[in-house]
Amino acid sequence: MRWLGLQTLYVIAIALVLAIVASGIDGFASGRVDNGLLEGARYTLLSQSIVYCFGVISITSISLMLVEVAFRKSINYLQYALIAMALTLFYLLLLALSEKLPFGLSYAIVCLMTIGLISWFIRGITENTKAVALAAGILAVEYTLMFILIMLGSMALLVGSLSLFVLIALAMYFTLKLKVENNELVIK
Amino acid sequence: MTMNNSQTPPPIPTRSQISFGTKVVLLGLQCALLMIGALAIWILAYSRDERNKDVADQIVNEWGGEVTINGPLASEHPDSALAVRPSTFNCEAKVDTKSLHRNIFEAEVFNARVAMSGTINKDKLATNSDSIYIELNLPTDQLAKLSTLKICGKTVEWNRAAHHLYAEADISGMPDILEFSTSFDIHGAESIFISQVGEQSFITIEGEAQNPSFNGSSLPDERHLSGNQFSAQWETDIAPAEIHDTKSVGANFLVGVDRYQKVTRSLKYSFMIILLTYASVLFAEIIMKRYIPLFNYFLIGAALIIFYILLLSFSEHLKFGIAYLIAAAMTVLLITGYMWKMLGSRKVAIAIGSILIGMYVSCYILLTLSTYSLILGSLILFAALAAMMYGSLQLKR
Repeated sequence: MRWLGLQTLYVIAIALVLAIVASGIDGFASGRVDNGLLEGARYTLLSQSIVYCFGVISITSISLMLVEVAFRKSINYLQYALIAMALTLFYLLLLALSEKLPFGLSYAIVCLMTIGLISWFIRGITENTKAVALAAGILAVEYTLMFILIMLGSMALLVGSLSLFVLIALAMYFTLKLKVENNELVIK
Repeated sequence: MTMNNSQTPPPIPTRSQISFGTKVVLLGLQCALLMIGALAIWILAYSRDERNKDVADQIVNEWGGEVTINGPLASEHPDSALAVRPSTFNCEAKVDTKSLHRNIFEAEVFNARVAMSGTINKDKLATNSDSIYIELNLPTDQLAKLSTLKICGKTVEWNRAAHHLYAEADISGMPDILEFSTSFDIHGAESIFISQVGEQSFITIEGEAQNPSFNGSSLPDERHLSGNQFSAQWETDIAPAEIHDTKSVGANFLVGVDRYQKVTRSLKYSFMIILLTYASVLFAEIIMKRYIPLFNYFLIGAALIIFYILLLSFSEHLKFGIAYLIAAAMTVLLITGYMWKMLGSRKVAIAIGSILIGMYVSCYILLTLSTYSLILGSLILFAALAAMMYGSLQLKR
């Protein structure tokens, strides 16, 4: 039995677990700062980006559920977990690269790597170019927004909360379009 | 999409509808999950409060902290061990609070205009010397304006030291009772204290402040509070024998901002609001005989939680009342619109919207009326329970 509510619970549970892993990466990074391997300013940015880990994973997973319904392809639980892990690995890669390169540049490189990997994976799952484009687009928007939020400093909370509101409104809009037809869920 | 229907098996089969009881249990579970979100917001508000306090401390350090005014005391010469109290001492402090902003952080500081006057009995000095030494203890680095010291009409300049002002005056040919007066402006934050240095002391502190509390050795004999204006008076004619036993009186002011406290206090009611909203949506579902999936409930609950993040972020830039109004209006409009489109019934949407408005209004009243909040809160709960009972009675018919 697969249904939207249970699946939501599952992806949120995965996001929670991986957010804890990401805070472990945060601790690891602060250790690297103490060893002089990572600049303090870059660590501050990295640590701020890790705050958004839970948000990125849950938003991506929930929009993948949308892809599932819209393109009539199923993504199984293991695949959700793998995608969430790729999104967490993002932070480790970001840490590793920003030790050598400026933060902005390493952010761009790691973003491209992560989006590329997940797009390739979704292409393999769905074999649908539109689905891949949608997922990659959502990821690109998320990572751009996250970068803006990191750079904004004290205004981040205002922009972040407003974008959360927009996000909830979008999610509501899509659930309104969900209809049950011939005993299956479709987007109208 | 329908063309592919024959080729691909339906990817997401719909479930058979779960029973009413199971749904209520699962909704309760969802409420508990959403409270994790509320907890996260509480932690966020707490950490921002701490950060604000740090910055407020920095601002206060630069502006000037607590003000304690002690004196004036008269003696024969600077090294004399014997200091004499004024026989009468009048001190009037006009306090003007203002908030200093740095980025989104702010601190409440004040500027006090202090005027003091009184008399010194020359006989008590037990000297025939023609000069008198007067010392006034106060944080001199926080002084903004300083006038001269006037003794029986004669003007004497103050000299500044690290923690006190002092003046030496020639008093030859002056009467036995020396009248003195002086005034100054002083910067400060947190509190202002004035010692009851005279044998007879009359101290007035008045001005404008958010939430002054009066303390010190004794409570004011007279006090008035109306809106932001306050005034307090202390009068005493009992002075301890030892100079250093002199008591001081004064007022404390809040330095930080209370918006974070208000957000965390409003978070207390979040569980209640989610529960009541879920209950009314459930009733709507039963009345309309339309199935609302659990995921839609979750989105409504998430919107109710996001209200608190919006409130937190708006209140950093706007007044709390306005921030509350905007955040509540956004949330109510979103959920009402959602219910309208979902059930296709304007009546039900308006009912849910007015329930939400009622809850947010009563939550705001609870926040602002802290003294009556318990009685009011329990009355509102009683009314909500009664409304729900009435609703469930209607269902059976």
